[in-house]
Amino acid sequence: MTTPAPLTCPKCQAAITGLLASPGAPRPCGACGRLLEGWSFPALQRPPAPARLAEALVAVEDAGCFYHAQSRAQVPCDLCGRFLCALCDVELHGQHFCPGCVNTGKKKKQIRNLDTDRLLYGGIALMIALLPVLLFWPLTIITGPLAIFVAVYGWNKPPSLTGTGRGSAIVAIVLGLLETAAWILLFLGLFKAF
Amino acid sequence: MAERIYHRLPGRGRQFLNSSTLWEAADHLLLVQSHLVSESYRRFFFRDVQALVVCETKSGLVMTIVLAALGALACVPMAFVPDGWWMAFVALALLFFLPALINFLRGPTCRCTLRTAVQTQDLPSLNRLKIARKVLARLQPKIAAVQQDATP
Repeated sequence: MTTPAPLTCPKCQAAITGLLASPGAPRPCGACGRLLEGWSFPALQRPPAPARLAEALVAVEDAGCFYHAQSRAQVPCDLCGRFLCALCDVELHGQHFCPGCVNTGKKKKQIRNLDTDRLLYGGIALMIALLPVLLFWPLTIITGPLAIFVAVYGWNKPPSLTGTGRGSAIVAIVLGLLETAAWILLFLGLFKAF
Repeated sequence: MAERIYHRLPGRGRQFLNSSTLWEAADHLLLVQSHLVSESYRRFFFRDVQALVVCETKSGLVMTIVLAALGALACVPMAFVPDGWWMAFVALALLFFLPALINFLRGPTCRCTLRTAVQTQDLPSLNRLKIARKVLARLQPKIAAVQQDATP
């Protein structure tokens, strides 16, 4: 059985011992002397899970894996229904996926737990509306309508995973409308003056 | 209205144009790195967390001393300027003393890491000892409960 690698000090990376004997109690690092507090969990002592190997077909009636015809299928993919052997089964959040669906799901953002980044259209619209006001206001003749367009375009796009982001889109639309209205009023005023 | 999956945990790590926050879900932690117009995510499932380590750092103390020293330096010219001008230097000194006071009141700084079987990840949002202890006290029983249930 392999022993787990020792915990290390976050500052000096030296191995720390005895920290977990008293969870949460401050204790100085043996190398750098900084105070450390630590909590360990049963997963630290858990041996690594054995590698999963595909089982070979034993009878002609056995269902085979879609990707490996000689291996026995164990579960169907929860998205496409293809039969999968232990090697091809990607278990995620209690669901089983085939490698193809994982790839497609990641690209199309269909599997929420595979999302690693998101573009925040509300933030982009707000930047477009706000930066010209601070840096070079005549640009607002273009950026005002553009901010509204970007905010509306991104309205139905996936928002932040944490549920934030619509607020900036609303602020961007209001700012964009104000900038556009200001330019319309300016042109109307000039038109009347001449 | 859809039920919220993530609940924000206290603390925010700030860098130039970037910030980092930690969110709690039913079975995992979500580390969110915000980059002005986009966000990137890392998930740490409670069943995989092996250890949480907090290390006290001196950066907060150093920052307080530097700001207070700059504030004190801004006060020096007050003795040499004509009447009425001292107000300008008081304002300048306050620009340093106030952040120094706020930094001091926020308490000592720390560095927090989360370890799983395959990685050791910094949690930049837990950069104050007070906040780190509060968050870890909240997470510790949840992680322990999940792993207790998972034990064969």
